[in-house]
Amino acid sequence: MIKLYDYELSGNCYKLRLFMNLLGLPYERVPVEFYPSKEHKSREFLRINPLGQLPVLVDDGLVLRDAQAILVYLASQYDDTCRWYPTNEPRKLGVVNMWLSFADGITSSASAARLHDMLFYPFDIDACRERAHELFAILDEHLWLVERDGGQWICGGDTPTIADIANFPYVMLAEDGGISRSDYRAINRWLDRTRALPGFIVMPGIFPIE
Amino acid sequence: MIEDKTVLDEWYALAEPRQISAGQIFETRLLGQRVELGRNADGTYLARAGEVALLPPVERFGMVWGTLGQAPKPFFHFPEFDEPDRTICNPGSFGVSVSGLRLIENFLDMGHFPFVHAGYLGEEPFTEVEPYQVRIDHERDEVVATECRFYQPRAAASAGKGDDVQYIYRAVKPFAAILLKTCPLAKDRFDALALFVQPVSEDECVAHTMMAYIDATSRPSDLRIFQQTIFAQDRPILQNQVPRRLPLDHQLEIPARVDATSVLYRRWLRDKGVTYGTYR
Amino acid sequence: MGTVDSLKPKTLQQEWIAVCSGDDVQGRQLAQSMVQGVELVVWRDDAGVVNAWENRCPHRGVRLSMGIHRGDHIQCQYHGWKYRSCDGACIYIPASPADIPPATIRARTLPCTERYGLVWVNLSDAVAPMEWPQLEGDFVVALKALPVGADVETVKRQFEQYRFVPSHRLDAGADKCRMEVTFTGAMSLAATADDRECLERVTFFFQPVRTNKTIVHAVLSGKQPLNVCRSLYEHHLDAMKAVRADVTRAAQSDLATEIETTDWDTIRFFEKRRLGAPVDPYSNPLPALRMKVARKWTSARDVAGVELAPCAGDLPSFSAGAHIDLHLPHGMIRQYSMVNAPAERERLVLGVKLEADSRGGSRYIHQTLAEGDEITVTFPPNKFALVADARNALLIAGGIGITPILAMAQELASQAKPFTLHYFARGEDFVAFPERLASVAGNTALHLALSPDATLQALRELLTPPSADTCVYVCGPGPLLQACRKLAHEAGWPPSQIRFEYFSNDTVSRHGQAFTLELARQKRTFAVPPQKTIVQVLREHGLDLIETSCEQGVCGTCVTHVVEGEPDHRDVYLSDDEKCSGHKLLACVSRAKSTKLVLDL
Repeated sequence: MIKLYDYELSGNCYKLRLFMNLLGLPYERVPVEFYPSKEHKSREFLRINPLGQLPVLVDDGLVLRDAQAILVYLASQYDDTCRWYPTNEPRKLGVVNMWLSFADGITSSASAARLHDMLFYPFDIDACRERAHELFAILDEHLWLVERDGGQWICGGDTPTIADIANFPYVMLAEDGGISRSDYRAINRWLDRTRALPGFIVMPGIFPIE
Repeated sequence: MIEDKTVLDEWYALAEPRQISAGQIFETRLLGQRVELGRNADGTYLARAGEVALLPPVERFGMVWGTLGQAPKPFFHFPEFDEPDRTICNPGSFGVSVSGLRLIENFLDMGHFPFVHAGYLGEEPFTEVEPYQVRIDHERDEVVATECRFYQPRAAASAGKGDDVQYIYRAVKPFAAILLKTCPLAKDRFDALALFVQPVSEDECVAHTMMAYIDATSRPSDLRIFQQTIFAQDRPILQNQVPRRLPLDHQLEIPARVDATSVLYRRWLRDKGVTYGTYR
Repeated sequence: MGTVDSLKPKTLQQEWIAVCSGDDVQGRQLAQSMVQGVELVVWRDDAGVVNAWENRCPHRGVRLSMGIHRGDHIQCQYHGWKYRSCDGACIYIPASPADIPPATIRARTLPCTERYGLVWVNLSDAVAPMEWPQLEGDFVVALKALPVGADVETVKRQFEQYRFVPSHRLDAGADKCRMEVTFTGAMSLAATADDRECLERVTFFFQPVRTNKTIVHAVLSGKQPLNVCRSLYEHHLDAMKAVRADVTRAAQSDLATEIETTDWDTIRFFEKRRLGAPVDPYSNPLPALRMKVARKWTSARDVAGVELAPCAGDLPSFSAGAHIDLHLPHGMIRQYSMVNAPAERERLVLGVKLEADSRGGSRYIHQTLAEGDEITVTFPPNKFALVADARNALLIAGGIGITPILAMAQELASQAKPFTLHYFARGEDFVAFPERLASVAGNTALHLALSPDATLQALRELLTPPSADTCVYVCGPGPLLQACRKLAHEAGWPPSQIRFEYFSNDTVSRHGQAFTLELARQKRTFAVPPQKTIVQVLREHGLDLIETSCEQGVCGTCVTHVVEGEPDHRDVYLSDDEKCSGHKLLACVSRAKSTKLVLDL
């Protein structure tokens, strides 16, 4: 049974809870208390992940950290359709990876703003928000053009990839960090499409679209 | 300085004792002022706002409380905190960009359970709020709501299934409230949850929570994550209320009959002369 | 190059402001927008009507854009209150499912229209139709809107420098064409060929968001079909961003990066706007009718059948499932559903159950009301009507709940529409209107003398599994409705396919006894009939002396001082002491126990 070291309020952990639910993959949650006890920095957990970060996935002896890497593994291993992570199509694969890296930028800006506003992390909040807006403007423009081409997802086309999953949570939760999405209408349409996926689950702060 | 004397002359939860160690300064903001907290070698606290020394902070109900006033009113009663068979748990403090009064009003409200806390504290189609009683306790100067009940699919970390839950609500201060709810493991007793709001400015606050639960089976971290989940579901709603400050009349915001507690809470604030954090 | 007019004084055209593109409101999106600091939620209902509302739920102020678009209404994320398209009236409050929301609760709306691929709102009071003659009849496509961090005048001036290549010349790498700039409240740039023929036109519409932010909407139009492709969009996107960069350089400001607090602007704007008369979604224009008891008989062991005929004139038309208010002596008013078959339009046929704990209404009808007696009847709107396009109907009745259900069954039978009727009664002699039931016997199943568990089991079988083309109608006592609600939810019925009619004896009745109302300062006297409130009577006489808000006796806004008389308190706001003192009352719901009430008005 897949084991996920997980914290309920973490958007990065949610990426995997969401993806495994979309795949219909059973897994066991091992709660690690990020706040207030900082369990992810405890000696026990540092043995599992020396970076002291969540999420961590353990599957059949394989221990993986980093949400994007875990998404790559889960899609490659368990998605028979090969559409979530198209290993058989090098050009598409390159595009997916490009947008997986983009998700890291979202984490370091939008997620950081959220940690600052909710849990008083001492970040430069103006810099975080400004950077988030820059990235959102790029994503919004990109999605708008994708829509003109008849596509619906970040990597184009009519089926989502793990790039959509990787970018979804902290974009959806942007307002938790004081970042308004009102100008980014193409992003908002994409967020709605993601919430409408069969098997979609929420996390606290995200509401179902029903 | 602050004109609202009612709000000024109160104690406010600012930090947990473990966050303030001797020789270090803990910085926070209260009623628009920057406040620095410190600790003496003998364990007592000190506080100042800029150059001005404040009354020494006190420890109560698991938190460190400070005040900008000279004559803060006495603390409220929270007897459940001292009951020996309870698990005392602090799920942490969270910042919210809205007036603290809105947090208290949300804490006293049941109608949002099936929509904001779907699958936990409520579920469609069980949306009806049945009539309950609410009154002012003049002796203690509190708003008290009793005979409240609601169907909850997952009322607490210890709940195994859905059940009808009874609630008693107490608004004990303008910025503090306590709720009692049926304990899933001991149906004749109540779990107690307290919300101590620190008004940082008129439209920002910090929510401190304290749980006094009867639960020998769950790990404290399970209790904490449950409460954090509920809170993280409320926070986007609270931060999207317009205006951020609480209106005390009912022109801007119209209550329904089931909102009797909130109507009385706003009326109580008005009668006390509270203006800080209100829309005016 | 044309000259730019200086800003003309406001023309009516300028009151229409573009706020988003048609695409932004497709697929049940709730778009957020802002004009001069005023926050709006913009959406298009499933029928294609666009709405622009104040982005704030009238209940506790949560932004409606956070809610859920349900096709013909929005549901607020906080407490699930629902607001319908067009007039914004609140149509459902989940915490009180049996009550009609007061007419005072509605979202504040603005005139809104959709033209040329964009959605427009109007902030003024004088609303003229919106039309841009230059765009009429042309092929039009909306380009991507661009937010710019400067005030609208600065942005307009900079966009005069805009240059573009017409779409069908893009591939050829042509030079940008001559520009003709015309300023008609928006800004229109026409790319003309050397012979001055207008090839294509870009028209910019500027949305003033705040003093340091403007959104530039752009529409491409032409007499010929446009060569719409990705490179066209990218061309204009690049060109617009280049102008924006110039603006930013010139203005040296950044886009607002944090969530703007708009409390003051939005609220003050809508406070100043006249709200207009409250829209009552269930308004009742029919006058009261004087009727005579034509027949009274025993229909079942505890049910009296009553036939009422109008004293004069005809009955108004009514649909199956409808009920009336029967005005009994001593100010009692009770609701009863009609059992009529569609052809029966001369008389109303009612079934009245004798309630064991009757406060007098059903007892009066059973024991005192006699044939020949006259009685007043009013006709509230029918909230429990058959859904027009449902293919199948499942009718469930418990006890006296059979009355509207039987009317529905007879209606469906007359239209040869498929239905089944399940009637739960305590026993053979509790079955009401057996002769009418006989006429629909082929579709009816009787469930007699079942225990609560057996009833539950029977209901479970009826409601499992759900059926996509069936509408379920349930009427009966509280426990039956509760059980059906729960079972239907468990089985997965969509809420829109189940209709409930509450037959509750203890909903707060707004009615009471008639009394005389005297205004001490105005020195006027009015008669307040049982079915009207003090506030209603005063308004009918053109006296808007009392401010109201919730109109349910909750909020205290309408508190009025009593000079003389004994109030009949119907509110939940005043304390026990205040009620006992008798010096004040809430005029929106409370009445008088004494025959006269004098208020300090």
